[in-house]
Amino acid sequence: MSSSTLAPQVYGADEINAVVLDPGSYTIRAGFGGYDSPTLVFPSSYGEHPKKEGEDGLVRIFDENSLYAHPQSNTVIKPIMKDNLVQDWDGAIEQYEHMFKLMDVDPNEQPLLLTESTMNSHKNKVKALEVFLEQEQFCAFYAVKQPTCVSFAHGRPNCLVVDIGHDLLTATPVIDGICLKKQVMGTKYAGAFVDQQLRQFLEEKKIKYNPIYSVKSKKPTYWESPESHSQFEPKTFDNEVDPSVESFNMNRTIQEMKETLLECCAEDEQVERKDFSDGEGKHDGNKNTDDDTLYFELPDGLNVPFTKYERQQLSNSLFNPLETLSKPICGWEKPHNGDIISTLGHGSEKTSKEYVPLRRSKRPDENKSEKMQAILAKFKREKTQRGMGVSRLVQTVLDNLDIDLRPQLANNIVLTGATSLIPRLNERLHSELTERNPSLKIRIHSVGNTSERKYSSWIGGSILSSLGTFHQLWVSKAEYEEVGADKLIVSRFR
Amino acid sequence: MAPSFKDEAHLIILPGSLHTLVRFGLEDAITPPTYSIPTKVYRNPNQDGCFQATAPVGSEGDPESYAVYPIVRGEIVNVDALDFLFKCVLRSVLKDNPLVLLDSITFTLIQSSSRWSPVALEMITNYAFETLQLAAFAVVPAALCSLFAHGSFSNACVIDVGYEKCEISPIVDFQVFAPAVTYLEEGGKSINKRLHELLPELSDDQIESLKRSPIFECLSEEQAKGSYFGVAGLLDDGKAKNPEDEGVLDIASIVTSEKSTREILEEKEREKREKSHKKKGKTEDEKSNSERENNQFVDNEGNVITVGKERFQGSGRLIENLSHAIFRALSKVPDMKKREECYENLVICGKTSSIRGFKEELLVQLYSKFVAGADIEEYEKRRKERIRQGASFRNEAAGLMDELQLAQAPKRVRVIPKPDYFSAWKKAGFEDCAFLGGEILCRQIFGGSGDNELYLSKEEYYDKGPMWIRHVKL
Repeated sequence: MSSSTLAPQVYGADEINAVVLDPGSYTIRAGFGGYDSPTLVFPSSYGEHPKKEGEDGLVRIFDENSLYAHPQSNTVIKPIMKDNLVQDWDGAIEQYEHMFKLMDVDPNEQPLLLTESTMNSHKNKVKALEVFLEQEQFCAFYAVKQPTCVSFAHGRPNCLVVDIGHDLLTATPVIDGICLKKQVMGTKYAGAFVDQQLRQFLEEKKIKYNPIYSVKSKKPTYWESPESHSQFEPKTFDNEVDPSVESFNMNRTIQEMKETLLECCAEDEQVERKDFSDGEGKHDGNKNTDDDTLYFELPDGLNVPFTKYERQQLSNSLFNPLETLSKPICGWEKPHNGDIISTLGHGSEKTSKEYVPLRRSKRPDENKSEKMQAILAKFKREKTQRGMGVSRLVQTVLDNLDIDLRPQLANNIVLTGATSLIPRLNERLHSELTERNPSLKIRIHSVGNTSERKYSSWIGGSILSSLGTFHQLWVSKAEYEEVGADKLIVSRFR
Repeated sequence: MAPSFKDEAHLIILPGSLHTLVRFGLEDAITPPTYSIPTKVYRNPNQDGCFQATAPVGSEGDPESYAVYPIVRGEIVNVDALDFLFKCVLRSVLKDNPLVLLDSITFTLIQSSSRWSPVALEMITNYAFETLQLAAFAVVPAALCSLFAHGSFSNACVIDVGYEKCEISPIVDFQVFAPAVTYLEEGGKSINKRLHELLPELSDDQIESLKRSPIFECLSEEQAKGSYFGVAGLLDDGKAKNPEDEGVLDIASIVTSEKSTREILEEKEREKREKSHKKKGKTEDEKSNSERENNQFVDNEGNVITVGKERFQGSGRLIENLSHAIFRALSKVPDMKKREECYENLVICGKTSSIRGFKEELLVQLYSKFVAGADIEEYEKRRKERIRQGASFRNEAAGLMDELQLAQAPKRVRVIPKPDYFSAWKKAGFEDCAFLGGEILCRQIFGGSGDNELYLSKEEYYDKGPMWIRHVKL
């Protein structure tokens, strides 16, 4: 019996029943390693309200229903993550504990795999080690970079992971399953950017959002002019509802709008803006709609029309972030140049040593040819004109890559993240990249299964943690106590 | 070649938090469970870590203090106790069927909640083979079973309303979509609690009987208008005033007399008849429950109790929360088309949903809150306009709502109708349809052509270990 070939199977893939935790800026996913979908998906935020009379302190609530259905007085909804990084550790820990309880996790028996952003700060990593190994007493722990997980989920050790999430849009080259952290580029032109545009779109139409908990019964009405109002019977509360609760509820509606309305198109397919109004304030019934108009019904029964032009413009803003329906977009006034590492400010930390693939001996930045500099200059010009959209971002990452790696990664572009589910987004990305790189064969891999695309980093983590060969990578509690966090991070979690 | 199993040797168990349903042996017509036993065992006071099926005799103290409930809110809290319960069931099965061999029995366990941890499941697998020595073991999720009891639908949403929890399981492509499964920590118990606040005079048992009696109803707004109390009188918001302040009649006059129930009922009937003769129009007898001022029910001890409007209250909050939770669960189904289908294929099951009007009220809530584009007038207006403009429009059969160009889900909400070909189940009620589905699946799993991969046989277990249950689990 040749034990060498059989070895990995004999390791017994499911022997270790790991817990996989995949926090993102919009939702956090948790589940057991070896499964094909996460068990729990929670929003990355929590409600907080003061304890009952006579007691000090605050109570955190994670049950989604109490956040949506019956807002209580003094409840404030707070975010846990920002830009894919944990910003509120106290809230995060309590949320993790809540999830572990629901999943019936036994930390003494089950190791924990955490996915993290490539931009994760040293401070955060130390904290994560402390939280999971000391505080939660997990027997073993490992942290994997999210793009690595995505590459595993797609079975492509060498690929360029384009992740369009909620807060961030990042493009990360992955070589041999390891992220090239210095080459990561990203912008904030992601899901939240579209959210803000939709908010401003509603504001411009003078539509007031009424969350579902304040609506008792509704009657469908149609938006025709800024004077249109919804007709609904409001539900009265004897307590005041915090604006953060309202905004949390609105986010859900906006989420639904994004899911249903958006569709990308190529630049030359973009329809002209139709001017329906004959003049200022002169709107006439069905004139400002056409056959391609889609309606979205708000919780209070008001149907908002979205013309084809508006829908395309909203989705195409991911490609041309400076050409938006309403200008400027609040919070995105300053154009992004794609240098996400310096924007988030964790680039120059001692631990971020770059991975150099074995077969490469050359230093990557030694040979910047004149030609490449010319290209870079050209894109810089374009960038300032039109903003750093998805395809320009991917292009820049490709250009920065080592010449030997470029063809391979261009052939293995993996598109992931929930915002990438906008119909025809991958089509446009492909055609723009092909147009710019006639010498490269561009291939974009995006799974058709929507839930796989939404949870691909979790799925990758699940695959990794159940691999027999992965077991040697776990960092045990004993090792942590012996070596210490600082050294561990340098040697194990670069 | 896989071993073949006999229909007579299938053991099907559905353990819930309160009751466990059991059936041994399948008949040609799929019949309801033979036993419903409480999901409860007792600690052995003399031996730590051991259990017994009956309350300890002769030991001091309340027998309830020795009780162990293996499943709480759908979650397995004590695997050993649950294992013991299975053993007790098996023992009584063998007693009834002395000719059956242990290693010909197949065990189909209906997983009543997605909350069962994989570790607990593995321990049960281990127990089924190594202690119980059974021939084969299969686990099927209850949500899927409930769906299969109604027919074969690829996308659906199963709402299980239990005692302490409700579970909403969207099913996508014939599989429970785990990320979207949503729990609500409320259920029949919260109705009891609410009723207790409204009727502090009644004991817990009496409240339970009230809840189960046919006079306890959920009224829709329409019915409420036609009811004796009107809409305002029935408002069920937490701050409802004390009924006495509103001068609403008697609250639960408990009749505790030595007369038998029958006598009391007859007496009441007579009284009523006399009263109704004096009245014009409808007699009390003809009036429906909602039109009456008060109505009576009989509790476990045979007492007749009269209640007023409280019989229409108590479930409002649960239904409202449930409707929000359904919407939230289905928002997590990523595919719009499938989401729409889920809304069109709702299955409402669980004992609490058997309250009269419960399902209807839940649908009304879902419809009024979340369904978009429920405006047919506007559609008509627009359609006529189109004809006037001479625009060509699609076939009218394409559906009203599709024409409205509304993008979002849900556009309609629909419950899958109960199948009427399971005659034996009609009497038993369809709330336990998970068990029916379990029986159907059991037949599919074990009666298949042999190369079925949905159960774990003894040989396979010894070959691959308890972990393998995860691969054969539906």
